[in-house]
Parts: sequence; structure tokens; C-alpha cells
Amino acid sequence: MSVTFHIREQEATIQVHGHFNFAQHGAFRDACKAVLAQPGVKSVEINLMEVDHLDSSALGMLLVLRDQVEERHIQRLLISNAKPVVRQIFAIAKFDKFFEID
Amino acid sequence: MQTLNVLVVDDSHVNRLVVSRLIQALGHHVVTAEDGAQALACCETMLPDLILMDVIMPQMDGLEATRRIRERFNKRWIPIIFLTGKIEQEDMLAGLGAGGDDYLTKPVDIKLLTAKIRVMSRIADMQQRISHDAQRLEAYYHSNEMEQQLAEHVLHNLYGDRSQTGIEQWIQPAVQFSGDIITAARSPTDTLHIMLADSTGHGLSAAIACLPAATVFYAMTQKGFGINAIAREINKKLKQHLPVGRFVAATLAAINPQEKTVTVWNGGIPFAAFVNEQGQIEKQFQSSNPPLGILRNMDFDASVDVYRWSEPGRLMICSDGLTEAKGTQDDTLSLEALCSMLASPPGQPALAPLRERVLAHLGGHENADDISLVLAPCTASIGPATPAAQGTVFTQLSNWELRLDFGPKELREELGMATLLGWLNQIGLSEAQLSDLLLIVTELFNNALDHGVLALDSSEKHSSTGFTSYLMKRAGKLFGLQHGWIQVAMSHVTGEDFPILKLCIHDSGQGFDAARFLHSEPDNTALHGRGITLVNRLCRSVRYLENGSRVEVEYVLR
Repeated sequence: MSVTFHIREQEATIQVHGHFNFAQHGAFRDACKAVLAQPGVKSVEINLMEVDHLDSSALGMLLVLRDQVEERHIQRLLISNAKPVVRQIFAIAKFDKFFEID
Repeated sequence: MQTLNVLVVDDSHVNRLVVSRLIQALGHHVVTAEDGAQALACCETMLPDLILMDVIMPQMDGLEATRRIRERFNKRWIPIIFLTGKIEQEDMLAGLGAGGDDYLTKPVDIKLLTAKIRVMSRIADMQQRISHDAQRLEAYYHSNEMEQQLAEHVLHNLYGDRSQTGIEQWIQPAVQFSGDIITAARSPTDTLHIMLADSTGHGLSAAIACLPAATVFYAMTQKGFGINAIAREINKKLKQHLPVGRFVAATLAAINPQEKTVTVWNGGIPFAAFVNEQGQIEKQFQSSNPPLGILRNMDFDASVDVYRWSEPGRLMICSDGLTEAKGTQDDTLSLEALCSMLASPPGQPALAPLRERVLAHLGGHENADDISLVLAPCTASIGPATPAAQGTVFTQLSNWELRLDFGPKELREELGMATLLGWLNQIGLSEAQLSDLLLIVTELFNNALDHGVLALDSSEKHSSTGFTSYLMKRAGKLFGLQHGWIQVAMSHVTGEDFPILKLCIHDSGQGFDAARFLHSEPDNTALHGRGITLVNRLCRSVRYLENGSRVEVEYVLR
């Protein structure tokens, strides 16, 4: 369970591993902070390839990130590679209304 | 090094003197005792920081004294060093077994004594810090426990009274507090409102986030608002009060036994369904909205899903704590299988076997998330009504007149009934009067909107197959409404014996043939036009004018 990130040119990617829940809160917040502190970032991608499950506090963290991304006028926030079980959770919460889910 | 109080226990006067001098030379205070019994008595008077104990003494020897001191003063650890002539392994083991901490051979070597005192003092310091922390932790634990108990009491009372709603419910918190709540209350028009809400996370903070939702739910249900208006208001409250990232997934449902309808607004709850007496899922209400507290109210969609049942059944709603509960094989429960256990008449209790099934699935493991489940019978009646409160006199204003005009925009946004409800709730009606008037106003206003302004044919609404298409047609027409209006006039006048509330609703439509319903007897088998018959019974007079596009009624406020 961890959160990693990298920035290539102007595109930042945050990758979460394992269960995305409250236990990841600190790590996810730190990763977001680091990414958003980089000047010139034009897009943020949340890669959920390694995420098996997420709970409502993870949805909450994503909403917080969405607000921060908007504040910094970053043009694009993308959620990518979500597994079917994770997609299902996004669907129930209608998160496709707030996020570009790839 | 800090100054210590050292107790020297030795039956030999010379030894006591020598050791005492050494210790005083190191800058510590000394108390002496001649045997074990005296040593115990000294400890009673004042606990020393360190004891130097001879082993062989008359009366009570060092081992026995040590054992007793350990027993008597078990709250605080006091370092005890044995002073002995020779050290055999057996003696050493016996001493340590009795509760001693170290050995020193006589004659005492000052360097060794200094070093040992320093070590013991360091351990004693550590010990004290730990015991201090433990005390603080215990105090915190107790105050936390008390706070939790208080909170539990308050929350329980707030969500507690579900009598006379006929629902069955089960909440299994993951920690002491559940972030899931279930509320249920009857509206003045005898519709049953139910809410299952699941707030982010669990525990006390989650329970607190649910509070505004519950308060709004009860207040607005009591005032006769529909679940769409309640959902909108809860969303507004939560958006205002909760930080970003905290929200409440919720399903609000209204069961109307007269109309045989279940109306549902679902935002983020995985399962809500109408299950028939055969235990089959007849209609599932999908989540079509984000949870409450995320969207700004201008983006909020309060549209609801309506289902009309032909045969009785149950409404079942459960949170993701149940749908995602992992079993012993890391599997999840089959909801179809759970629902099939509901094959019984809806009036009968059915929850217990379901709960057993879920607990068996968990196989003794604790649930990771709050589990909540509610079953509500959908039958012709929701049980006996509460006796109406008596004697609320109409006091605030004696004579008044009010006219409200609703144009296309207001009608599209369904502000009409909400405004009228707001007004009816403020004019000091008794509970029974409010209930009657809500029924009258709702019926007449909806007639004016549906059959007047929107020109929908009511016969379609009451056919068993046409209901859904009627609702869709209605929603479509309302959404595209560009012209039309409804005018509502209410006045309060003094009658012969009692005051009278006059109500006049006028719409822009072509009118409809109301006369044929007006004088027919209420007939439970035909829903068609039943509402107007009921209005006719509740009012002193009902008059349709201008081809049915204008209705005037008089209600006596007895």
C-alpha cells in the first residue's frame, strides 16, 4: 500500500497501490501537495491500475484534489485504468459527473 | 543526578553506618531499618526511591521483606538491591525471584554502588514516565468513553422513535458509532418517508455529518414536503456545513399506500428495490445522483423514480457495508438470494433471517464498514395513525387574503407546492387541519397542473400499464413548459361558528370535466377521480367554474 507520483514534462501522474482508503490519506495528500507545488503542471492523472478497492473516504480525497486542481487552473484531471469493481463504485456515486474517468 | 531517598536495611549496626556514609557522600538522603519488618514500616511512612537490602536478618529476612514490599506497593516500582556476603547462583535466583532487581557484594565498593544507583535511578525515571503516561491515557480513555456514551444517547434519541412506521431496520456499526443512519416518519398526508444515509468514513465524525440530514428530514416530513424537496434541502445544508471531501450517500423513499406508489431519490446508495411477496426484485432504484453535500444546489437534480405496485411487497434498502461485506471466502453476498428470503406477506417481520444470513456470511469477522438495512412494507395502509394533537387554535392572524401566481418558470422548477406548503405550515393550523389542507391543496394544485396547464389525460394515469408512460409524459411536458400559469388565492374569513379557509385555484388550461367525480361515492377500487371525491368530503363546499379551470373550496377550521 503506497502512493507514488512522477512528473514528465507538464504531465503529473499519481499512482495508488492496494486499497485506496483512509489509511492512504496521508500518503495521497503528500503526493498531491508535491505534484501541485510543481510549477507549470498542465494535467494530473490519477492512475488506479493497482487499486483493488476504494471506499468513500477515497472518493472524498478525490473531491478535495479536484477543488485544488481547479484553484490552480490546471486544465485536466483524469482518472485512469480503474478496474471494474472500482468503476462500479464510481458509477454508484455518479462520479463521472465530476471526473474524466478513462 | 537528582537526590534520592534511599532505605538501607541491615541488622548490623556497623554495616548500616558504613553504607549510610557512602550514600550520604554521594549526596542522597538515607533512612535505615534493622530488619524486614522495620523496612516495611518505613515504606508505609514514606516510599523510598531505592532500597539496599541485606538478605540474612532476624525476624523477617530480606527475601520475605522484598516479597511483601512488592505485594503491598504494587502501584509503583521501587528498585531493590540486595547486599550480600557472597553470591552463589542459587541465592541470586532466589533473590531475583522474590522481586529483587540486582546484587551488590559486601564490603560495598563505592564505584560499583554509584554506578548501580545511577542505573536504578534511570530505570525508575522511565518507569515513572510510563506510569504517568498510562494514567493520562486512562483518564483520556474514561473521558472519551463518557463523551461517546453521551453522543450515543443523543443520537439514539434523535434517530430513535420509529414507532408507527412499520419499518424493520438493522444497523451494525464498524466501530462504536455508525456513520449510517436510518430515519422514518409519516408525513401529514399519511405517506411514509424513509431515509437511509451513509456518511463518509465511520465513527463519531461520520455520525455527526449525518445529523443535519436527519434534522432536515424530520422537520420537512412533518411539514408535508415531498422527498425531492427534502433531498434538495439536505444537499444544501450539507454543502454549507461539511468540508470538501465529506459527504453523505443517501436514499430517500416515500411510500404512499393510497396511490400504491414508492417514490425514490437515490444518491450513491448501491441497493434500493421493491421486492414482491414471492421474494423477487420487481423494481430496482439505481443511484442516479452523486451523494448529498457535493453538488451546488443549482446543479442538484431532485428528480425521483416512481414505481406503482399492483401486489404488496417490501421496499429494501441497504448500504455498501452490506453489499461489499467480504465473507470468509473473500466473496460478497448475493442480493438476489437475500431478497428471495423475503417471500412472505409484507406485514410480517422478515429482518431477523436476513441478519442471520449476513452474520453467517461474515463468519465471525468484524465488518469493515457500517452495515445498514431497512425493510418497509408496501401495503394498502401504513398502520394506525398518531392521534392528532387537539386544540391548536387559529390565532396568529384573524383575517387575511393571499394570492400567489406561478408562471412557467416556477412550475418547471416545482416551486408551487413547496411555496404553498411553506405558507400552510405558518398559519397555525392544528395537525388534523394541516393534514386535511395538505391533501386538498395537493390534489387541487396537481389537478390544475397536470390536467389544466399540461393537459394530460387522467384516465391514462390510472391504468395499470399507463402509469409509467404518464409520468414520463408529464416530466417531458413540464420540462419544456413555456406558457401557462396557476393562480392560487387563499383567504381566511370569519364564519358563523368557526373561521373558514377559502381556497381558489385557477389555471390557464382548457378545463376538464370534474362534475362526474364530485358527487360519486369514494370507491377504493377505482383510483380515477378519487382525489376530488375526497376533497369534496373534507370541504364544506366545492365549486368548479369556468369549465373546470377554476375551483373554489371552503374548509371549516373547527
